[in-house]
Amino acid sequence: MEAILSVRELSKRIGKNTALSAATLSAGEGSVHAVLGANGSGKTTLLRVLAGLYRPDEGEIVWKGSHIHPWDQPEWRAEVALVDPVISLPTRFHLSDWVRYTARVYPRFDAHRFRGLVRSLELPTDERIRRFSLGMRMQAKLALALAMRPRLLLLDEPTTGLDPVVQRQIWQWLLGEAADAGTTVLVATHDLGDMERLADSATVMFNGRSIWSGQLEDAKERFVKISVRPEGKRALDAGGCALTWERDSGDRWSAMVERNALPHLMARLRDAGAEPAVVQERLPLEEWFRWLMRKEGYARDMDGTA
Amino acid sequence: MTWMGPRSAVWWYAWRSLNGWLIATPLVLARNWLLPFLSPDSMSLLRQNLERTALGQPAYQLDLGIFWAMLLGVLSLGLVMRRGYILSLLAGPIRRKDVYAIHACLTGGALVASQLLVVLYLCALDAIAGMPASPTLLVHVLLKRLLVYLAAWSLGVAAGATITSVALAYVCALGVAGFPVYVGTLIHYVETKWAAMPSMHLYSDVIQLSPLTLLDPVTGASLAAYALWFAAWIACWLVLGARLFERLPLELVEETFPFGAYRRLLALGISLLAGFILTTWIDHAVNLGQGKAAAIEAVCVWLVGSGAIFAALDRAGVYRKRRWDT
Repeated sequence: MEAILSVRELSKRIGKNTALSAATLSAGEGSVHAVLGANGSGKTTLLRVLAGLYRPDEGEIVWKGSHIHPWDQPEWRAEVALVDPVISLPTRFHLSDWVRYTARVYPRFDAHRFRGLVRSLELPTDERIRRFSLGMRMQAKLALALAMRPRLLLLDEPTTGLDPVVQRQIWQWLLGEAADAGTTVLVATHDLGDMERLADSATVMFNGRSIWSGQLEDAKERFVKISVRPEGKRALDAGGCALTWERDSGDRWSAMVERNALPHLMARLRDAGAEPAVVQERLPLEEWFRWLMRKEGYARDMDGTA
Repeated sequence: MTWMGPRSAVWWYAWRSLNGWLIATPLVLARNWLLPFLSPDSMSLLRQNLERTALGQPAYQLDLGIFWAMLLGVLSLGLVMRRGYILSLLAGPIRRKDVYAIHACLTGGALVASQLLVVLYLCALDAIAGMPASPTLLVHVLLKRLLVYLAAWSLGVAAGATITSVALAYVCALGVAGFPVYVGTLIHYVETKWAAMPSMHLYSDVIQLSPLTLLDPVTGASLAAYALWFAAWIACWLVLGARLFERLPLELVEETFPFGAYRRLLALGISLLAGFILTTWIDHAVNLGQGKAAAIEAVCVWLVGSGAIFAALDRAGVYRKRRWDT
């Protein structure tokens, strides 16, 4: 898929901290691109730079082959919608007031669509926003963003405060938006399960850097998960074949390995007289993500007492 | 729904955010003239008040209108600067200069319109009471007050647009507005030490440069000079506020002072003022005496005291705390 949005070597310092350092990503038109990363890795900053709220120190943003500067291009910002849990709607306004405001600001705002979304979410438009729960506020922001008909939809933790039923509903809408309207959707989230099902591509960030960027299918294809008994673990440990180890139920251990190393690995097990490994075809995205983080030296003590 | 454009949306947003304050403005400015006919001897009281107003108040008398005008200035963008709202306003095709200009126009316009309403109202009251005061003098005094109100308001706009806490923006604006008063007081103090008979003219001329003091008694060439000063003051603060708001780093709006230089300025202002209070206290305690040497000693004590307080404040950094730290 050809990239409609390219971010190259984007850097941003906030006070004394480096929030972004050489962040890079590419996303295709009408695709869902996940922006993943540990806490404080720069995901929110990246989205806010793209929305034109923050001015980057270095780097470039290319949209449809042209360089853009979102912070001083209002016409670009009319094409972008940002949903961010920290950016609040004015609580003293009724939702209907804020809709009126949004309709004046965004040229493609579709009031008919908004009414449909709000009806489906059962949100009261004649209530003051201060009476809305956290989840209702997030739903209102998502409905407004979808009704803006943006070319680029930036979502920062969009499922914050949403129950699983509404989460599923919102994701379906977002997929529809990407597929039907050709909207490019960037989602910064920690919800790897949802991204595994929904995202086409992803960028993984750590300490403001992009440490991996590409099609999620490629990542899933490259690695597999295997399950072995303790003697198999010992045999594989000796060869340094496994990328990660994790204790399974019973006496079994599971490992993440490169798919193309599987024949070599099976031969090792055979030579050691160990039981063959059980291969699990689909590697959960979470395991791959944890491996990437561990490679960067980011891991947590599992018993939490150290 | 037809697309009206971002500017009309900002007008609408500004009006919805500020309407209560704007509607209250004429009532606050005319606070002493509301319901003037309620007391039994209302007409004679009204005549006296009109005469007094036409003569003008002394410069040092505090006028609530000035503090209201400054508050209105601070609130112009101060209400928008509250966490999240500024981000929701600017995360769209809205230009910052439109946000600044529209909010400032709305409050500044309301202030001017309110004072003009007060002028009309007082002229009407004057006519009802049989013209105890010359309408020309009344208009003259009220327009001079409008100039001072606008000077206080412009400072408030600049502070509210660049300091993200409404309360601290107001305190800082008050502090800066009082600067000519501190300078006048210091000059007066040093003159008193140097020569036993200081000139009161210089003192009163200097303090009248502050928008916290009224221009009621000023006339003629002095008035023209003060009018020029306040016109320049208003223009400078509005332009400075606009420039800084344009460059406001939104990533730091959670800080009370997104521009670090403001923290130092605040500390400097506090320490100069506290240093002066300390000097007068030491003078009272040990009696520095009179003459050139005493004046130099007092200035030295002031500078050392202020320097020490500034260093302590800068080290403590109490004003650096984030607004939303809990």
